[in-house]
Order: sequence, then structure tokens, then C-alpha cells
Amino acid sequence: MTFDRRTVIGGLAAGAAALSAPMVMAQGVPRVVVVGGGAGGATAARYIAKGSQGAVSVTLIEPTRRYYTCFFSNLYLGGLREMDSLGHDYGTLAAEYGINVVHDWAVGVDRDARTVSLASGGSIPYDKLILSPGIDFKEGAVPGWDVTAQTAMPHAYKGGTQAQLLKAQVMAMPEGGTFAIVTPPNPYRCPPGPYERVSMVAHTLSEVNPSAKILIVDPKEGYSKQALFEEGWQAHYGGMIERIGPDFGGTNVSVNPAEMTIDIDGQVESVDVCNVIPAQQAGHIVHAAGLTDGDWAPVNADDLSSKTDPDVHILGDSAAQGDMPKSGFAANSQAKVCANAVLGALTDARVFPARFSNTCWSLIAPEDGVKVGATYEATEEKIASIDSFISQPGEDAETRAQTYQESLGWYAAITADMFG
Amino acid sequence: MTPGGDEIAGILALEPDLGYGAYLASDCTSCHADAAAEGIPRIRDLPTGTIVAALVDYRRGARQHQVMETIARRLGDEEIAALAAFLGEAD
Ligand SMILES: Cc1cc2nc3c(=O)[nH]c(=O)nc-3n(C[C@H](O)[C@H](O)[C@H](O)COP(=O)(O)OP(=O)(O)OC[C@H]3O[C@@H](n4cnc5c(N)ncnc54)[C@H](O)[C@@H]3O)c2cc1C
Repeated sequence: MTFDRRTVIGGLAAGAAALSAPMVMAQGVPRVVVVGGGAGGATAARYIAKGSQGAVSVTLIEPTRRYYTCFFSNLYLGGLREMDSLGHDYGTLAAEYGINVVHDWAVGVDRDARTVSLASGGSIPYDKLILSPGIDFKEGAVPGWDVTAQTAMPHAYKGGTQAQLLKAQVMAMPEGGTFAIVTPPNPYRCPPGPYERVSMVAHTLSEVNPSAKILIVDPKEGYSKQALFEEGWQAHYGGMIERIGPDFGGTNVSVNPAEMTIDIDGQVESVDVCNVIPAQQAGHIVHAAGLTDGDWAPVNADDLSSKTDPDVHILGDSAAQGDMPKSGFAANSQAKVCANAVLGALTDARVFPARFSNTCWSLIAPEDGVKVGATYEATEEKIASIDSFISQPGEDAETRAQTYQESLGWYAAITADMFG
Repeated sequence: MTPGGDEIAGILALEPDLGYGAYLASDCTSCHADAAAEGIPRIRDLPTGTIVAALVDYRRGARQHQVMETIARRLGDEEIAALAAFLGEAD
């Protein structure tokens, strides 16, 4: 028989007393369920398990057995990283941290009953739920493109398979062919990501297919680290890259995957590879749980709890939190603040003031790394930036090489911080 | 006294809050791995005084690094003391 908390609480005469200490009364050990084993979810699960030393039971629901990071997938496209080196499994979280790793999809959340239902059937009860499912694409965002078109025109904006497909297509381009990339409107995961991708594809093409062209179709006026990317493209890949912004039709784009054409404001172009990165929204499960307002889930800045339900926290890309970009670094940073708050609510752990940070490194060419970053605090209204920095145009090669080396250190550290 | 020396001595004289240090250190581990890594140095088990001196120098801009200066600028003395005590080894 499964233990039903509502029945127990409902059946108690002293209902108020039960509610004042529900976690302890209901079940000896309070239960945290985390949905999504990526930058936000894996970190949160690990920090709660580590911090509670068995006083909290942690279940992590994640369909894939091996998580391929999106971060550094552009370096894979640039031939600077093997796909294998981007994969991480959940064995250590299970074996060393005692986390119950359930390889399944969460398909529904019953916030009254406090249960998460699984694709395979059955459900898992929680006292605190953490959702970090990343992004999903908005249907119809790029007319002509949908999930059935992602073989002809990959997005490569979720880890693993799609990046391998895109790389194979780049390598198979005819001599002097065109690589097109349709970039998304704000806000989206990894603001510099599409432009780092352009850089890394340009690097590969400059080695294997130097007369090839890259066409960026962009609905945005400007983008992250633009001056740095443009300076770098000029220096490393002069003439290869062209960008069509909103002034020239970048907001009015449709694609035809069967014909491999792209229609930019009525002008039809034939292309050889077409990387479509559609507009984005919170992962489907966050919508299913009824926690979104529009595309994203509003959260309180001090603990990433939902503005709709204090017992559900939303991390990473899915959250509307304020000033932080949708990055792996940000999701990891938010997860630690959330873990501290959840531990404080469920155990006698001390709760400290929220503090966040982010750095996003991008690689323009081998050994030419740049970065942007900030520190943040929680205000009533949002996660607010307090201080920031960015690489400068014209930096010397040594600085840029050092910045790239740093990004390697960061990758090793953050993946250890996520997966143990 | 070297420049910054008073500040460093003052911080080393504080009673550090180890629990707070553990929480603050979770901000470091996003970039500083426990295992030796390329590009970013390991900071665990350094002498406490070395960690305090580094953070004070970044905070006042005597030592330059965009990320570390930004991180250090929001650390108060209590926070530097707590971090150094948690991460470091008494020297
Ligand atoms: C090309 C590219 C480059 C990038 N580079 C960087 C970078 O250099 N630095 C950086 O900080 N960030 C980078 N990012 C961004 C980073 O990958 C994301 O911001 C980060 O992964 C977000 O973390 P998350 O926890 O929100 O989601 P994710 O890390 O995507 O994790 C979500 C997990 O949830 C699982 N999931 C989804 N739905 C369900 C469900 N219903 N049930 C169970 N599990 C579910 C998924 O399988 C997935 O494993 C990059 C992204 C891209 C695309």
C-alpha cells in the first residue's frame, strides 16, 4: 500500500498541528523529487543529498542514461572536442550520494496530491518538487519547421544526437556550399550559443571547405558579445560569414525542409545545411504542472520557488527569474541556492542569503576565447545583477588563450559539481 | 606592513563561520574543481592566509582577473574569513 499523506493529515483531529510539521509527521524522512538531470536538476539533487546526509530522500527523474552537455557541443562542431567527452552518467549520484535515479519521463504533476506521474505508469510522492527540464521549442515559431523536419534541418540545441547530425551535415557540404543558421528571438538558452556555433562551424569549414559560406538569419537587432564575435570573424574567417538582421527580413523567415530552401522576407535561398534554432519556452512538464505565465515559469528570487506553488521550485532555462541568462552556469548557481532553501525547509539546516553568479565563455577560434559574466542577488522583484564584466575587443592573443584555458577548467569543474 | 596587509590581518583575526563558508564555497566549485584541472587552479587546502590574501587583492584590484575581481568585490570581511576557513588549511 502506498502511503497517502492527504489521508493521514485529513484523518488527524489536530489538523493544524500536523500541517505545521508536515514533512516530519507524514513520513519520517521528507521527500524531494527532482525532474530533469541537467545543469539545474543534477546539481540540486546532489547538493540536497550531500547536505542532508540521508535525512532527506532524493529522487531524480531523468529519461536519458547519459547526459550530453550542450555546453562545449559547439567545440565538438569545431573539431576541438570528442562527443564522448561531453557525456556524463548518473552512476556516482546513485552510488555515492544515495540518490534514487529513475530513468523515466515525468508526464504530470498533481500539486494537490503532491505526486509526479511517470511515463511508465506509477507516481512518486514529494514534499518538495524541483523542476529543471530545460527548454522546449515553440510550435510554429519558424513556419515550415517542426519536429519531423529536424533530420533535414537540425536544431542541435539539445545535447547529443542532434549535434552529431549537424556535424555530419557540415562535413558533407559540397565545396563552396552554404551553411545557414536561423537564430531564435530572445529569451532563449545560451545567448552567445548560436554565434559561438557560427564561429566553430567557420573554423571547421575553413579547414575542410574554405570557399563555403555561412548565412546567419537573425530576428534580433543585436546579440551577446556581438562586437567580440564580429571582430573575431573578421580576423579569422574574413568574408565567410554574412548576417541578415531584422532590417533585411530576419524576422520574416520560413523554411522548406524538403527543398532545402529558406525564405527570407520573400527571397528564397537554396542552402546545403540549415540549422534552425526555433523560439523557446519552458520544458513541457512545467506547463503541464500549471506553473507558467506565458512561456516561462515565474519564480521568487530568494529560493527559486514558483510564484504559484511554494512547494515547487523551478530552475534553469525554464524559470523566469530576472536578470540571469539561460545558461548552464546560471542553472547550477540557482540550484545551490534552491538546495540550501529546500534543506532549510525540510531539516534544521541553516539558510543563507541567496547569491548567484554566472560566466559564459565562448570560443571564436582555437585559443581565442572570450567571456561575459556577472554577480547577482535576490530582490523582492527578481534576481538582479549587481556587478558584471566582459572581455574587451583587441585583447592580446595570450589573454584570449588563457580565457580559453579557463573555459576548460570550468567545464571540468561544473560537470563534477553536477554529477559528483 | 605590505599594502593590504592590515586588511588581511584583520580578516585572519575574525572568528570564521564554517557553515557559512561551506555555503559560500559552493559558488567557487562551479569553476574550481577539486581534482587538478587545466586553466583554473585548485583552491582547496591552500593555506588560509593565501586564500585571504588572494581575495583581498582581487577585491581591491591589486591582483587582476575579470571573474575573480567581480566575485571578490561582493565579499565582505566576514565572508572572506568564512571561505578561507572552510576551503583552506590553517597555516
Ligand atoms: C550550443 C549550446 C552551447 C551552450 N554553451 C553553454 C556554455 O558555454 N555555458 C553555459 O553555462 N551554458 C551553455 N549552454 C546552455 C546550457 O546548456 C543550458 O542553459 C543548461 O543546460 C540549462 O540547464 P537546465 O537544468 O535548465 O536544463 P538541461 O541541462 O537541458 O537539463 C534538462 C534535463 O531535463 C530532462 N527532462 C526534460 N523534460 C523532462 C521530463 N518531463 N521528465 C524528466 N526529465 C526531463 C532532459 O532530458 C534534460 O536532461 C549552451 C547551450 C547550447 C544549446
